[in-house]
Amino acid sequence: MIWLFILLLFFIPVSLPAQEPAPPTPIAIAKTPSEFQAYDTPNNCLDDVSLIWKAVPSEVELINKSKELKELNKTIAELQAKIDNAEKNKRDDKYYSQWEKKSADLDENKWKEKLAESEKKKIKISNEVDALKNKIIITEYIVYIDKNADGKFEQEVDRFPSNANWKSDKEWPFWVSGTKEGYHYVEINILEQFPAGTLPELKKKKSELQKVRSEIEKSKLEHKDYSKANSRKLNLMKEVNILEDKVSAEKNEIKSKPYYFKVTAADKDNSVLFTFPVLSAQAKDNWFNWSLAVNFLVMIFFCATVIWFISHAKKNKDLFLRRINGLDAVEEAVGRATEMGRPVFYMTGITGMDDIACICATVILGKIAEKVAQYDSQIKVPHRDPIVMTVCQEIIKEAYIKAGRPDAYKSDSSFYVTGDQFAYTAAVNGMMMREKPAASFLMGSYAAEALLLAECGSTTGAIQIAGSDSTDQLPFFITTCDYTLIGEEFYAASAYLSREPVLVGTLKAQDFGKLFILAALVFGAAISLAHLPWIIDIIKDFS
Amino acid sequence: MIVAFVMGVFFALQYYIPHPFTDDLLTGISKWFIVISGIAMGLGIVSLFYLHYHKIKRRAPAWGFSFVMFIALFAMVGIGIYCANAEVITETGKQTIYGWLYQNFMVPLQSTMFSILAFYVASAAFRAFRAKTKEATLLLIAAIIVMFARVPMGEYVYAQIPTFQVGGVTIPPSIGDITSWIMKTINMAAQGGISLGICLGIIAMSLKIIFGIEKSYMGSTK
Repeated sequence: MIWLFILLLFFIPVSLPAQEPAPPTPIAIAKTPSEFQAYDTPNNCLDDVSLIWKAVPSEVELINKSKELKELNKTIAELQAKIDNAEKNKRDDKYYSQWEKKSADLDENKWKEKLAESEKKKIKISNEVDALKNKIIITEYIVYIDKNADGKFEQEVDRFPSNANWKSDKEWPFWVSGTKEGYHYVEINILEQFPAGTLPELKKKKSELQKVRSEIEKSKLEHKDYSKANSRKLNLMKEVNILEDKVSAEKNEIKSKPYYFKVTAADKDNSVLFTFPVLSAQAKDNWFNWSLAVNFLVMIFFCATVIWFISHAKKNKDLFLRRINGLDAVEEAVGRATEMGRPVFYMTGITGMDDIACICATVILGKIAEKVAQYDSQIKVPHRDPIVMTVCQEIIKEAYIKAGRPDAYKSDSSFYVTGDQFAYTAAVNGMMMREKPAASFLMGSYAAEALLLAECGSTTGAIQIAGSDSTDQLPFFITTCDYTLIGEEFYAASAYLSREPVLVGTLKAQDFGKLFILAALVFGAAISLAHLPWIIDIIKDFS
Repeated sequence: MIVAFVMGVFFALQYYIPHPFTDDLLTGISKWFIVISGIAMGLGIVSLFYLHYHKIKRRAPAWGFSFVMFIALFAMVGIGIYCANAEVITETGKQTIYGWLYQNFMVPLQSTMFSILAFYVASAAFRAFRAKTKEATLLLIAAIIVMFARVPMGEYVYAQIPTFQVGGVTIPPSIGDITSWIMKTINMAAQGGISLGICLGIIAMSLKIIFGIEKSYMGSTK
């Protein structure tokens, strides 16, 4: 019995009638657009309001298919070009050996096969695109605006085809825009729709003012009396100022109210198929650009790392620093200047104190000036920016005091030459040729004058140490100077020369930052090689 | 130091705040900077006068150039103030005297200085491209290829070399492709590495200034 039962168990599945496949679940296709939303455009303080709504699925499908078709056409064109080229080579008898000819034939056959496949696929997708085009009834969307919810909505803001204005075209990260795919998106400038009432008058007055100004300029050139025009100009300027204040107040008034929006969908005969319920939105001034949130977090993270490494450096004072030959040679260069009785030249670059490279150059100047004072040598710092000159004068003075040689300080060691790039270069080159400095330091940002200065210094026989973040000029410095501080070495110089633990700590933080970026590079490269486009899309949002 | 901290933090945060308030503040501060620059220019001119006056007084080497400097300075300032509208007729039309002086003195002098670059590039290249080491030899080869491709004659000479196809690839590749590969792959990779270090250096330096860790640029080391 047991055996019979077991045998039956084997037979039951076989003997049961085959089950009919379950009928496919009908896919719910929305025939109308949905999820209409109106809100203040995020991330900016412009006078914009955003509208979004979900498109009919067939519209999205059409877009995707059209993209696919476009890509396919591109592939076909590329393959065709390759085949044409191969055939041309055959005709022109460009192949030198039989083996080469065979190899080319193999390639050509491969391309031809691919081309045939692509052509078949193209026909299929073209048919699908045509079918979708026939399926879509909505041909365009029309957006209206009104000041009242129950208004007539006669003011048309925008009108666009149903396959345009996609939210996915906006390069916003996902935490700002949410789901991107399949949504239509419209940005509306409120002040363009409802301009300030006084604006035309302001424009008119401004144009009048411009005319009067040109009249004055003309009179000046022709040596004519322009006192009347001048008084008219002053009156107009007053009027423009008053009007500008008025327009600004009106703009604020316009922006302070919510506005109402209506979106309708129309077919090719322009008859309205669908209308969304009216929604309101108000343009606001934003206090944070959320699309830069990751950038902000990275900044906070890096700041925290720097602070942590500084506190760590205070406790652990023996942090390792690799040798930088250019900075080790500073002492030798200054010593040489003392022995030869010649000055040390120091240039801070062509930028002003608003450039971090210039600040770094002034910081290094302090350390070098201290050494110059200790060795009883002489330093000369020609400038092309008076602000930098004033700062450097203070730095050199402080360095001499620190070295215990305030009496040796000369106030004219840091002096202004000119603001013009080549005039400055000519002047400094002249000084170099006449005074034959024993050492020359070129620190900061440089442009075309980099090689002119460095090559001239080289001909005078000076020890030259350059440090710059101008990547275009670094090759020139490397070829003409004895030592060059490349990029980050230049920024590390002050910490290296002073060896203060707090400053050295920041170098460690820099190294950590580099490690972090390298890890990100390796991760990015791996993702890219693994061909995972969806991960790449997410990463792009974080970049 | 407090000013540096407040301004540093403000400018760093301003990047993330799109509100008109911060924009207005930034515009205001930028105007301050222009005003300060204007005042500082006065200091620069005083320094220039002081330096050249003492050169003349001490009969320092090449003190004659200091005279030239004073003559040029006073001439340009004087003409700029007193003959602002006076014109000269040139081949190209009417021009103010100030403009004529600038065009006929300053511009040729600037061009002369700039043209010296060509000779300096040649002498610097001669020093850099000597094949003393393996690295220098590689640099020399890369430089010859790139220079060869950049001149029309080089391109023409290279085009005479017969080419053939292997697996759809032309051998040898065009000199333009080789140059492009050197510049876009090797050169860009090195530049990318340097730029990365520079960016981190700038951030660390900025933080040192904002937090008052680096104070020596103010002349204070305490």
